[in-house]
Amino acid sequence: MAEYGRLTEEIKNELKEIVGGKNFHESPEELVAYAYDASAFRFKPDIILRPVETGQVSRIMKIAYREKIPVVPRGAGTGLTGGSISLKGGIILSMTAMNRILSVEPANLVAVVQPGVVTEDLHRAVSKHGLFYPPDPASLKSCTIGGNAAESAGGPHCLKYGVTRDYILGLEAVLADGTVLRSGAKVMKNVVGYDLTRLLVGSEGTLAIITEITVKLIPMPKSTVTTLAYFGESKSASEAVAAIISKGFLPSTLEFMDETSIRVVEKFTGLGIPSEVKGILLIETDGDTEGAEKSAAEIEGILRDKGAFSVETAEDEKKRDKLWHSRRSIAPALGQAAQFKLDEDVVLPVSLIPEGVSKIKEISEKHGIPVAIFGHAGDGNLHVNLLLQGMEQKHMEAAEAMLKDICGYICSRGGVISGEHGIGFLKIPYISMGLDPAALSMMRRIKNIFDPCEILNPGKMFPPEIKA
Amino acid sequence: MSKSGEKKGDYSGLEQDLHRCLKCGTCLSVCPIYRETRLETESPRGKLALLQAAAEGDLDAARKFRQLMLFCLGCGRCAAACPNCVDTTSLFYDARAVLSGYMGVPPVQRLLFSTFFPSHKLMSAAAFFGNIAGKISAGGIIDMIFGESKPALMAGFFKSYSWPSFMASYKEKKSGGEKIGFFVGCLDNYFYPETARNIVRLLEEMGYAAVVPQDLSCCGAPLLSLGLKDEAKDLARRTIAAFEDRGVTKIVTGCATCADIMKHAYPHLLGETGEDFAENVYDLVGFLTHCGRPLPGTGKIEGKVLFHTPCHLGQGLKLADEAKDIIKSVPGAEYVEPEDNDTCCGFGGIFSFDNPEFSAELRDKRIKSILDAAPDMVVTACPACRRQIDTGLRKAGSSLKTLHLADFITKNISGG
Repeated sequence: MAEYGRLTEEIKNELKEIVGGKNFHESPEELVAYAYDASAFRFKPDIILRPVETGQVSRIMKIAYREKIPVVPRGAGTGLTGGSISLKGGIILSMTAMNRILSVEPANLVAVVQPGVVTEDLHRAVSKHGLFYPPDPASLKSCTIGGNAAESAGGPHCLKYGVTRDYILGLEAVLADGTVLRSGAKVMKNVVGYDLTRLLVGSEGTLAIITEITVKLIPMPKSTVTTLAYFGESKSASEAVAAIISKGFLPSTLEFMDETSIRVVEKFTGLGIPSEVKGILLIETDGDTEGAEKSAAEIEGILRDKGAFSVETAEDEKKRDKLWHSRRSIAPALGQAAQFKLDEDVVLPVSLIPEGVSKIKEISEKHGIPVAIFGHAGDGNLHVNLLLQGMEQKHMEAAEAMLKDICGYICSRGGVISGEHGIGFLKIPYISMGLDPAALSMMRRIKNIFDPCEILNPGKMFPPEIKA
Repeated sequence: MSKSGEKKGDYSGLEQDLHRCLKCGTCLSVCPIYRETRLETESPRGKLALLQAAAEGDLDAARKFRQLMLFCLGCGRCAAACPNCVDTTSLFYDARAVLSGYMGVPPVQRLLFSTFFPSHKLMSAAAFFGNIAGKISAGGIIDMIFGESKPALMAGFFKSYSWPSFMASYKEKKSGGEKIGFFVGCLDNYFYPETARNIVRLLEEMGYAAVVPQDLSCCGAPLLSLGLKDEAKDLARRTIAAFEDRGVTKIVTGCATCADIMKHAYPHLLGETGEDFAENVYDLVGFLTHCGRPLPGTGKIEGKVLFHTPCHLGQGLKLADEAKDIIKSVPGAEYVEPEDNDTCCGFGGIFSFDNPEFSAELRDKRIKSILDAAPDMVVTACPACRRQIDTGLRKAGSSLKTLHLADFITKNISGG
């Protein structure tokens, strides 16, 4: 276990000089407000710094490195696994003041942004040029690109278009000792040396502080068709997912809702979903108008084949929005249905989705904790929500036992325990279940090279090493 | 770790509601303050966390805490956006009520909002003298001396009174028809009497009889903002009593804030009595949409119209689209909608007195988006927004006029 230095008044003054008094925070109120993220767990930092440029980040890291002070980078704090919480005190590096879009370059199909840019703001800025940045995590209105990069965030669009990692061409990052590193370039092909960009993306702030991001853009699809299908059985809906993919279709969205999710949504929002509906698929096809419509029509055939008793499609924005209602209502409805929910984002090979849904239901019944399963399904990513009736020790212990079973099953079938939320500290107990020991050991060595003093987001990603 | 002798508040009554906040951060994307400052401490989620810490005894809820609790426009966007239905607005009002109990309220504000505002007589006197003072300083002496500082705002408030007020000049007609209670509200009464007259005219044109209780002035919004809950309760009771036994079927107001307060805060303050009253309270937009009678007049209004959605109309009463539909239904009017149209004007009641510079910053942003859309007139449904936007337009050197929806519609009648 690493030994950390103390943040003396002298060091604080040094840091304050770097960012200025306005961006240096240490009042009790500020410590409370920077103690949590969307995981709802709380650990107070010692101070919060808001750098406005890379040079400041570098100078901060030099001091932190010299004094062995923990540093946790933070975007909007919308992560679900506790990635931006400072478990060991020290410095929260709030990147929200570095929020400029530095360039949008239609001729190169790239944009260069600072980490504090809100994901939706990037979507908007590039759409003005007819361009598209596909990753669309649920929190896109609030979350930042820096956080997305650190977690390699996903979202519904990732089935067709890939995740954040697939859209980052280059990075500027500050290393633990304050060195500024640049990786990648504004080019689509690049095999010069190891791919440090892809290593840093998804590293959850444990390897470096990301200070600038070059993202890849693609032309905005001209049209999108949304299809909503009702099934009499959850199982037939999940089978339809596998069937659509295996028949060679790649919808831009393929979302699944199981019976529990549907009932909860109906109970708390009263959208009027008929009671015989036990599975829902929400599908989007995009491209040129003709192609999007043709794919939608062919997919409708598959849906009917698999037993959908109602299929509705829409092309204009208002009607499409209406079809999204039930899917968008899940998270809020689940929030009301349970005292506390744990949102797991396991991934299975797509062909195993039908089996996975039934198996997870079985595990839920065995442990007596209800689950609502919904999610991106088309890319194998299922959101398994454990609906707990409290946050007390006994509830958490029961949930942990159930999660062990779920993760065990997922890993035994070649799946992974997290598709987009990351490990943070909440999933540390399960990381070794799904990682090859040699791979885990190599990851630890990489961490050690980047961050020998363990000052970058300590306590995250890796279980404490058991010394013989 | 309370400093010696410092009194502390008890926030434990709020704990149950606070636990509903899952810290997802959805509110960050809609909060006009957070969108500017990007400081978690000033976000709705941050403030709920502070309240939770205070409730758990983990935070000494003193000066800075109070400042943060008051650093809120009360626009209601966070409550409307919350996936888990946390009623942030009520929680912040409740927190301020606890705060005022042990931290007190600045004496000037207490005097102004608990003595002057609720009293029609005192307000009228102030209006009279304010108007004279305003005429004396017509050359903008006050502005020259104070700029946009706090005393200037307070002084400006009084000097721009319009005299006589609506009520001072109003005589109730003994006309037939369904009786509708008209809650004038302080701003329309003293600043925009013409608008108040237009609301009455509109009601009469539609075949209603307006009933205007003479002894009412303030709805209680500033009292709630300051945490003077008991005073707000008294005022709510007075408002309800004023309409009792007057034979009115509905109560209408031209101020979105008053409507939102009467509709959503009165039940919170008075329980069942408040609920019964609230059921029949309508903002003008809601009334025109739901009354089932057609708008009078068919005359044309030429020009591009932009509707500024007051926060309490859009978020609180959820009537943004309805207001725009009314405008679109007027022949000749071309409705223009700039990107990101439903943003706050930055007034926020007490907020603008406490934070004049920040309030002006938000206002100027809003003005820019209005001017970019190049409308011929701006219509809104809240006299506070109207004043704020008017001030902003003048500062920007624009001659664009801001109208209340009632002015806009009755203009149509006279045009026809």
